Formats: sequence, C-alpha cells, structure tokens
Amino acid sequence: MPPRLIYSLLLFSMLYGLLEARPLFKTRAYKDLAVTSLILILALSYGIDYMMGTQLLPNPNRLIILFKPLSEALNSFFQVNT
Amino acid sequence: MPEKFLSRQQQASMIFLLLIGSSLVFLTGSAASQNAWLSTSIGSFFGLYVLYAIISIHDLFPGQRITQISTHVLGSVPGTLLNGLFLLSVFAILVTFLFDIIMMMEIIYPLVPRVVLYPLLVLPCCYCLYKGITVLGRLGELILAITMIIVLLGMLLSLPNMEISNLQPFLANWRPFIAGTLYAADWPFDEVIIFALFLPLVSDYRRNQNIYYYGYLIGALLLTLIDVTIITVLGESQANLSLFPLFETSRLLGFENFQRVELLFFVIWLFTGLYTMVIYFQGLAFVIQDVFSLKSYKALILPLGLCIVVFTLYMFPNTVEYTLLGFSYLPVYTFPVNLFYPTIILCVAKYRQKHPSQKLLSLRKAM
Repeated sequence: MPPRLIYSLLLFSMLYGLLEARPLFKTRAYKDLAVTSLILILALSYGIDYMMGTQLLPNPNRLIILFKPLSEALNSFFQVNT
Repeated sequence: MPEKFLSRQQQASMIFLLLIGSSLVFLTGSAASQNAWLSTSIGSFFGLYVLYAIISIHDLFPGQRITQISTHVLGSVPGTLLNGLFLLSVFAILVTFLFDIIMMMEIIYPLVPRVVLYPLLVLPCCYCLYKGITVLGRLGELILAITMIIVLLGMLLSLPNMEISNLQPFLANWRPFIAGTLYAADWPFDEVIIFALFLPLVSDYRRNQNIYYYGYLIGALLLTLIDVTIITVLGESQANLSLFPLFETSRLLGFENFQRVELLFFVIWLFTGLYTMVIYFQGLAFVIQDVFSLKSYKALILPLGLCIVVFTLYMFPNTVEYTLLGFSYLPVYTFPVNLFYPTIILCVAKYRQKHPSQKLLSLRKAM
C-alpha cells in the first residue's frame, strides 16, 4: 500500500511547481517561496519516510503522547470508560 | 484592512455547519453515557463563551485576525508563542477531521486504500480554497437548508424507533457527566475559535451581531437533539459500542420496499464534513500566513494539503491508534488552547484599553 503515496507526492509537488513556485519566483516573493518550499519539503520527507517504512524522522505522535498521564488521570478521576 | 468577502448570514451558516460537520456521525459527550445529550447542551456554553470572546476581541480591533491582534496586544515574542500553540491545535484538529471523514468513507469504499482516499478528499478542498472565501460562504448558504431539512427528517423518521426509557437513569453519576461536558466543550463547541480568523472578512460585521449566536445556538440545539435521537434509538450501551452511532441509527430507518435510507444521510455528512475541513484548512493557511508574515495564503494551499495527507497517514496508521490519540489524549491539549487563547488576548486587550500604550494608540489611529 505505501508505495502508492508516491503518486500523491508527485502530483502535489508538480502542481505546486507549476501553479505557485514559478509565479512566486517571477514576482521575487522569496520569503513566500522559502516558507512554502520548506512546508513542501517537510511533507515530502515525512511522505518518503512513511513510504519506505524507515521511521527515521521523529513521530509527531510523541507530542500527543506527552499528554497521556494527564489524560489517564482525568479519565480515571471522572470514571470514563476508554 | 483586508477586503470583505463574507456576509453576516454566510458567517452564521458557517458557524452552524462547523458544529454539525465536525461532530459528523459521532455521539458528542459520549463519556456521559445516557446523559450525553445534557452534557452536549451544557458543553455548548463553553463554545458560546469562545464565540463571545472572539467577537469582543474583534470589536476592539476591527479588521484584524486574532493571530495579528495577539502580537499587537501581548508583544512580539509571547504573541508568536501563543500563535504557535494555536497553530498546532488547528493542525491537530484538521488532521482528526480528515481521519473522521476517511473512517466514514471506508464504509462505502471498503476496498479503496486510505492512501488513495486522502488525496481524493484533500484536492477538492484545495480547489475550493483556490476559488476564494466568497465561494466558501456561498457554499455554506447553499448546503445550510439542505442539511437542516435532512437532519430533521432523519429525527422525525426515527420517532417510531425511539425508546424514552433509554435516557434513564438521569444523572446517576456526576463524574462521567462532567467528563462528557468537558469533552463536548472541546469537540465540537470550542472549535468555533477558528472564526476569529474569519470575522475580519465579514462585510457588514457590526450590524446585528446576534446572528452569529443564533447560528451557533441552532447548531448546538440540533446536536443535542441528535444525541437524544441516538440514545433513545440505540440505547446507552449500543451507542457507546458503535463507532458511528448516528449512522447505525439511520440504518434502522426504512419502509417496506424502501431500504438503505442511510445513504441519503451519508451524502449530507460527507458534504458537511468536507465543508468543516475546508474551514479549518483555510484557518490554518491564515495562521501560517500571519506567523510568517507572508503576502498571500494561496501559495500555502498545496504544500499544506500535502502536509495534511502525509501527517494523517503518519500519525494515525489505524483506527485503534486514532481513537486513543484523537479522542483521549489530544483534547487535553486542544481544549485549554482553544479556551484560554482568546481569553488571554481578551483580558490583556481590555486591560490595555484602560491603560493604553503609545504603540497601541498609534495602531488604533491607523485603523
């Protein structure tokens, strides 16, 4: 299943290159170009990592799991069935 | 000051659709078991407060988004820090929205892999954002009446299956009831905070502001009625066991030769779900535009679209993990952020209004 993600990565990157990157470069909006390219590179890196199954990049779930102790304490106090 | 794109009616319909589309086929306040409907109605006061806070903030600083106001009022560093926390909250909520819709779509497309469904849903959202905010507002107006009619029709058709005794015992244990109220306050009611980014785009904003509250209250009332319908039809245990209680409720509808009525409702859930996602997607683009001081949000649409697809796949590989992370752990972060972010800004803004600094005075003069 994961290799199919390559089509999405390519499609979004191509559309971005055609619709956004060129006009931004022509209008010399370098800051916009840098920020949007950085977001795209971040997405591509995580996409490739997911596709290859290497898990080299830090999982964002680690941030959510930080709230596990508090969540469990609240759920046990309020007697919530999880 | 930005151009005005939305009418008050469109903004009110967006608020209504956000509540309906965000809760989708789930039972809000489900932690409270058979008292979920009461938890939902009381939880709605939190959202009402958030709506009041963002409207008050916008009254003090007309024509500016909350992310711009926070840096003006709190200062550059604390303002950006709070904006960063808000950005993470918006992103996390958006990712959960996408996963919710995908879970629902897998009912009718069980053989299509998620990796194909994600971009199929995100690309139309990108297209909608490219078309602009006016299209978003008009789309909201268009589907508002259809959504209300179909949701009310579903409730009316469920009447013969309802068993009022399923609502008892009433408030037997207060602890799960409080938990249900807090969960309902976080999802879906506090999510109205996103409209702090849309209010500057409303053209006749100051005229009869009550319309925003009406849109919100009608949505909250409808959600409470949906909860009553689910619990009375399915019963407390079945409603808590089912992943999509409202879908199960609609599956029980049907007439002699007229079966599979749930597909009619499915269309409306898909529309409102996607609409909610587009609102949050637009909000995320606005926040990033303000955090990085970009000229336009449009260049962000495609990179953010890919980000949403990839991170949803990466963070929630299966439903079990999603249920744990999205329903249990994430509210501990999103609830305080969505509640306290506008509260802090409103309190400091009111304080600064009484004790204005030179910088703020010059900013007011410029507006």
